[in-house]
Amino acid sequence: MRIAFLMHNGYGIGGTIRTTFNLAQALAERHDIEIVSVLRHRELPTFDLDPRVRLRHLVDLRTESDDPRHQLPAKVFPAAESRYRQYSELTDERVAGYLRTADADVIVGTRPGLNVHLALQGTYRAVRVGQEHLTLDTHPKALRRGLRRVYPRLDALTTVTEADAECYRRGMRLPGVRIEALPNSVPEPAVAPADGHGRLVVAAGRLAKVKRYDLLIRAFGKVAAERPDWGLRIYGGGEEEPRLRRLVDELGLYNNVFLMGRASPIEPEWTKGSIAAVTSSFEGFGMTIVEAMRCGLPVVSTACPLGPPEIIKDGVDGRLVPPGDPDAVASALLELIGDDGLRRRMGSAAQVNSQRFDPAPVAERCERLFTELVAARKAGHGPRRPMRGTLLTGAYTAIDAAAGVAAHAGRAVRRRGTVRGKEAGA
Amino acid sequence: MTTTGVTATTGTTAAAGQGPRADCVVDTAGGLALELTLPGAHEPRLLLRLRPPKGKDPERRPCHEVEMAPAGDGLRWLAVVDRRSLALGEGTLEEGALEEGRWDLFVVDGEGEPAQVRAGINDVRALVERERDRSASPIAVRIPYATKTGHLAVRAWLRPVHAEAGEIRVGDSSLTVHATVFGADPGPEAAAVARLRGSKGRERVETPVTAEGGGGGGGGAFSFTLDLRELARAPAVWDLCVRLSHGGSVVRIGRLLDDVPDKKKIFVYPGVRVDALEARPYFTLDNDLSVDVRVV
Repeated sequence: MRIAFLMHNGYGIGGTIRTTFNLAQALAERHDIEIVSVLRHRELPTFDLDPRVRLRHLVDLRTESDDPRHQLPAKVFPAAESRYRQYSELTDERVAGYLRTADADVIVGTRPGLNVHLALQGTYRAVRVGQEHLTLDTHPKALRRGLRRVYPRLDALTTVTEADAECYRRGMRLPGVRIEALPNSVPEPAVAPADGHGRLVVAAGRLAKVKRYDLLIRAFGKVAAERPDWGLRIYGGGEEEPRLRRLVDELGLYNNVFLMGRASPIEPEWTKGSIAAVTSSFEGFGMTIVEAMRCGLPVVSTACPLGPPEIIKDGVDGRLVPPGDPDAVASALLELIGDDGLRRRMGSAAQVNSQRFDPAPVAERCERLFTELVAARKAGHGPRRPMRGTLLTGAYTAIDAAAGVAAHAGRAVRRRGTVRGKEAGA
Repeated sequence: MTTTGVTATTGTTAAAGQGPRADCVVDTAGGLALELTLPGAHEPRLLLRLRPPKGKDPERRPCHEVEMAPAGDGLRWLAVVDRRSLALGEGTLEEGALEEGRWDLFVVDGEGEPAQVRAGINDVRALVERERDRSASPIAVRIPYATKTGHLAVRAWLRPVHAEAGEIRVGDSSLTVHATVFGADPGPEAAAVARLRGSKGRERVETPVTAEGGGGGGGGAFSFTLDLRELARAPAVWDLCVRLSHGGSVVRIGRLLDDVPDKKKIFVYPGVRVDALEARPYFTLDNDLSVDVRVV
């Protein structure tokens, strides 16, 4: 199959880029894969990409950011999408042009705004698959409304969790659109797995409120009271850092709890510990859980929506505890700290069980889905014909443009800074 | 064969993104095993060059060269940096050691320019809780790490005697430090010494230490409590040391024996307010323990 992934910016840094590259590379074993990056801001992609995967761009910000059309608001890319400000008449035009002439068998959109392009402008030649790397419930209402109107034109929609797929099935009613979970993939780590001897609990992620590292630090206060020989290392940077630092000082935990800053690659840091901890109130997927498990660590995680309960098997390869409960986190950690055999058994189980997230099996699931979709298309089944879509396009565009013009005004000036920033991820 | 010497070359630094990449694993004895992918290499050698400290002659750059062995696939090459591969000769104190500082790594092949090594996977887990012989001297520490530019460097310490800081506790107006001496034994008259930086050791505050652990302090462990009000009289920096015996040598207290190359921003402690001043223990850029007194 010829498969194309339509991305926001394949040259940047971010979870979507990493997981899309992983999938593309695994599919490239047997298929012809191209990544089409709407934006490009640097010579080489930040993440290494298998040379068998072609990468190209539609708008080169290094030379085209001053193009007058790039100063005008996008009309197709939905205004309620979080990346709206980085899109323009120029991106509208280039993405439409690409979709009109693309000769791929399957085209995959990798974010809501690009799925909208794909649904409205993808030709009948290609199977159209929308990918949702965030979640339905975290989208603004206006975006959800817009997606409900155009997603019926997709052949399939993939989410990263079964729980989110269920949200789409129940909350969106997309007749004729296959909705399936296709988890993010994590390749085998380049380091030997942890051996269960390290007396460190490790956590990694953005220092953001949703990650609830305050809860983890409080829980670790109880752990350190019983086991002062154990430490907690939290990797990552973010706006919560000063608050977390103060909390560590207030609780007098500065000999046991350490804010380590950003680390890349993270695998060698996981393997210094023998337990990983996640105390988020929400995880769209839970990439760090899989990363830690692949490094042989059992993970103590809150059973928060959506990903953790689908990744961890409680009592087998980790522990799931009620969200928001520091005592539950502390006792689960102490249980694993106090029982070397249990900790090592769970660590080994985590390493084995997380192999289902290797790019190879994930790509196989993906391949099966795409093959069935292509076969269905050839047999004459598929989503609604473009006729109806044309009508929808007009209506949707009108509503969207009205909402968008106001939002766009005055932002064009700031655009250059926005897109060139480090957050130019997909 | 190993060669060691002082080079006058200032060297070229390849931009990150260029140059060979090394995966590095530290073994339990503290040796570094490096694996590099070097397509087309003939007789590559690994070159370690001491980064000139600030204020020191940049032309004087001690360096070590280490041979590399092919891994057999024609692409990958292996190098080991340990006491044996760096041996200077018999009987020298510095045998096989890297002197204190930051060492940059390069690959040289034939007459070509040295190419600076980029950091790949850096597996230093063996350093996290490494068991060390407390009587060994000098104390040689090497922590490989990725620099801000993405290159691989080795942070090295070489001290005849070392006092490793353990738990640090900040009280209402006091600072309690637990530490262990390596390479010597603290005597019964050992004392903690806070030296005012810039006073050439003339201004100091001394505090007795308490031996810790079993055997009357035979394990080299001790603790002391400093009254921070004695230090917080004016903005200044106080360097914390231990004097091993009456009239004996003074040893700097630091934290070197783990996997963290730069402690300053990671092991952070609260401060104590003394009138308009705040006294706060911190680790210096060389990972030594000091107390910073400043106006708040």
